[in-house]
Amino acid sequence: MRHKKKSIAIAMATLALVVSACGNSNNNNSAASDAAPSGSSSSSASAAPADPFGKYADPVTLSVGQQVDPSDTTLPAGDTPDSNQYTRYIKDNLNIDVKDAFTASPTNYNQKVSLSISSNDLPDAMIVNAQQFREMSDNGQLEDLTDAFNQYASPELKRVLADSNKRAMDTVTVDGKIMALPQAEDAGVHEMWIRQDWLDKLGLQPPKTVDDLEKVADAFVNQDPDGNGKKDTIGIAAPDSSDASKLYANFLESANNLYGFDPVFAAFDAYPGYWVKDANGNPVYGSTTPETKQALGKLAEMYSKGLIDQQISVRQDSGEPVISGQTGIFFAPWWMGYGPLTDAVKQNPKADWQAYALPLDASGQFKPHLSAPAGQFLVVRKGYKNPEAVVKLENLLLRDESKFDLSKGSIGFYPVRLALGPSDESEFTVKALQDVLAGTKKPEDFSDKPEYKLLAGDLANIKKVKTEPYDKMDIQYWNPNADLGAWTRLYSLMVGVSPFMDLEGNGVSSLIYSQTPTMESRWVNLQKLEDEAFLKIIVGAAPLDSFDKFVSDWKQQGGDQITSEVAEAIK
Amino acid sequence: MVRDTTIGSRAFDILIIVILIAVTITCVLPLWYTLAMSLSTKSAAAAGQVSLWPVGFNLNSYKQLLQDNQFFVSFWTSVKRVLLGAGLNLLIVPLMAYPLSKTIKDFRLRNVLMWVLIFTMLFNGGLIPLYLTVKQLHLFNSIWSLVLVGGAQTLVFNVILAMNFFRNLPRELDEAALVDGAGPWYILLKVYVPLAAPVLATVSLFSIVYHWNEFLYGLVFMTRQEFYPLQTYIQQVVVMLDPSTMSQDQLQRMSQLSNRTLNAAKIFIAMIPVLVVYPFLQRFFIHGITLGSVKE
Repeated sequence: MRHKKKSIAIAMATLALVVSACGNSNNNNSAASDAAPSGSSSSSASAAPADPFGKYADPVTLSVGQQVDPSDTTLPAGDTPDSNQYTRYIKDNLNIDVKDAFTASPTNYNQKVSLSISSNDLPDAMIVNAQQFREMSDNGQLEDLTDAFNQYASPELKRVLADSNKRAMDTVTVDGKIMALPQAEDAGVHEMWIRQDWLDKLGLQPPKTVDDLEKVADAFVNQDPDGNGKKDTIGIAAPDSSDASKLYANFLESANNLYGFDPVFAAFDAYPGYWVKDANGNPVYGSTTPETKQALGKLAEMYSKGLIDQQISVRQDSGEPVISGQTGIFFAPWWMGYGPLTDAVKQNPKADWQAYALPLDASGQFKPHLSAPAGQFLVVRKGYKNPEAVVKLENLLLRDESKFDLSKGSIGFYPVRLALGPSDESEFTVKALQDVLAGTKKPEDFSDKPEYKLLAGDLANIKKVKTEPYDKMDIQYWNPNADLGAWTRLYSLMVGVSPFMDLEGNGVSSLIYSQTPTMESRWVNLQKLEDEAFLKIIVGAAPLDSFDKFVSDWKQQGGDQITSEVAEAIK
Repeated sequence: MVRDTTIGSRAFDILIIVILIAVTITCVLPLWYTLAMSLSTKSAAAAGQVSLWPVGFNLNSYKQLLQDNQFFVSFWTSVKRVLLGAGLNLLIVPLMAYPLSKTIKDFRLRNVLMWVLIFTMLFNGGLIPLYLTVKQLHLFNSIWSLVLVGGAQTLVFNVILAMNFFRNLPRELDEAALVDGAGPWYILLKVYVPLAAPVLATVSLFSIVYHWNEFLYGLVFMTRQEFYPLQTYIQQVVVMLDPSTMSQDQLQRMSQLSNRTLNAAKIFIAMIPVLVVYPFLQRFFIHGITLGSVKE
């Protein structure tokens, strides 16, 4: 481990040498624009009291790496990614000139950022992912934001980050210093989506336990729920061949796993892919526990009976049979309106997909795994003169986000925008929607909650797409055609979020959501070992007892060492 | 020609024809599928119901495509890149191949130069040094970064191909021209280049196809999407995103972005230029590559 650090240091030193020449030209480039503000503004900043929304006397330049979606056509003619309603608003209110050092599509943004990090050709500020944040932190490429945050963060920003999302704040605190601003969103939970109309047709109840699940899936496969006289239905969807779809979310990619078996594992109290504590309180990798073996055994049994999609991990997109009306059950997060369901309802307006926090475990509880507290981080280049400018940018965003007219440029064009929301954003929104539908509250009652940025729009739209009775969520009580965009969001919220409204505190977190030093060299292989072993067990290509062989192989090939590193890291 | 009419040989012919038809179908099918996809309705495409025939035939994707300004900007960037890249290639290849086709007696540094060229073919500095070099040359966001970097990387192969072709031309031609008082420039332009039409067509075709299809450098060297060449533009809208690291409003935008029929239309339109150019250069293509490959 020490060896590794050393070689990294040498590599970095070499890189620094190579890069130093480039660094000069970089300075030259920005010198012209920096020269004016750098001297004067730092003095003005120190002279004035720390005002979260204070306007600079002299313009401050901020170059950013910006994600720009190529299919986003909301910008009016003449506006560009670095000259639009948001940049002008920022200029008018804060006197910050935002320039794009680079723009890239969501597909390529990560690659562009990595290139920028390894060539040390950094913009003043950009959004990075967890891996990139750690890399920059290790490389010493990050500006310390502790003072900037403590002095300049607005009360709302502090509320959202430091109070509501303390877990997220912890991940960016390195040696007591705040090195980045984390994204703050509520963690989505994986739940069960099921064709309610099929259940009703066959006279079944939503499956409460794994055994029920097996029975319902069996009925979905064998009793022709779609009534076409052919045995062409899939009981439970399985992960497909894309990266977005895994058997279960893991500690490195902990959110938004589509068509995995996360809730089934959780029903066995198994958390594969997560670092959990064993009976003695020591860290253990969830994929190596007896509970996981038990869950795999059940999945293999269901697969052999044909209840799980037989094209597991081969199918190109498991969303296809969901849309075409062949699939009866799948496991995914709450936002499935944005997933396959909008197209599914277009194909068949009677496809009634409902979500449940099921199946339950032996003790009658639903204990989902929780995703990492933050997946995106706003970082500032080391040596940037006005780190507080970045904090002010987010202050302004949080205060005024709901005021912008999105038809004149979608919110994605706000420079280095962090998704900032209270940790209970979707639950709060659903509660508010339910209250407004029930008539106990009016939309105006929520006008003092700017940090719930989409709430006002949601409240305005709900009666457009929801038909009476307001307490029934089945598809026939919705009107998607009134406003498909609004329906997509509101259906996702009302159907997808309601099931876990009162699960607070039941979730299981991973002890760690980042890599330890040995993982950097070994994890890819260990992950492959795991994926192959588990898939073979499920499809019956290997007996269940090959699980024990996997566990011993995993331990030998670095697992034991990694486990002790994890124990060290969480002390 | 005597036809062999035994049953065995007939059967063999039929077998070959069947195999060739099968190969042809596997080549044409993806193109056909893309076309069928682009003419289907969006939800049918998302449900995976489109196979060989459009479901719910309509031209909406193409209408939508016509309104996409960036598609045409990128298209034009790619056309410029191909014209400059292939033009430059056509200029430099004979100029380099001719001296290198001489023996070491005529050109003392020939072998040294050859080794240098082959070295660059086998080893390269990697992406980050390349990135820094291009940055130092202030070529970011310039069409020349695509033309030069891409061109340089394919040049050596093309030069070697042309050089072998030149070496196969009879030495007597060279000597006769010399005796008649022609200088090296005259020999190259009036004797070698006209004879080398097949190989020059071949290297041009390589160059055109390469510059048209290459997308990585567009991504690396362009800091703004409006400078992307066509394939880079298409790559960024076609590749599947991994939602596990996305925030919720990115997911919302992604759901609007996911549009298989429109993407299929883009891919199909992007294929047309190469499909059009290919038949015209193809006969040289086969001819040229075998001609350059055998040395007497």
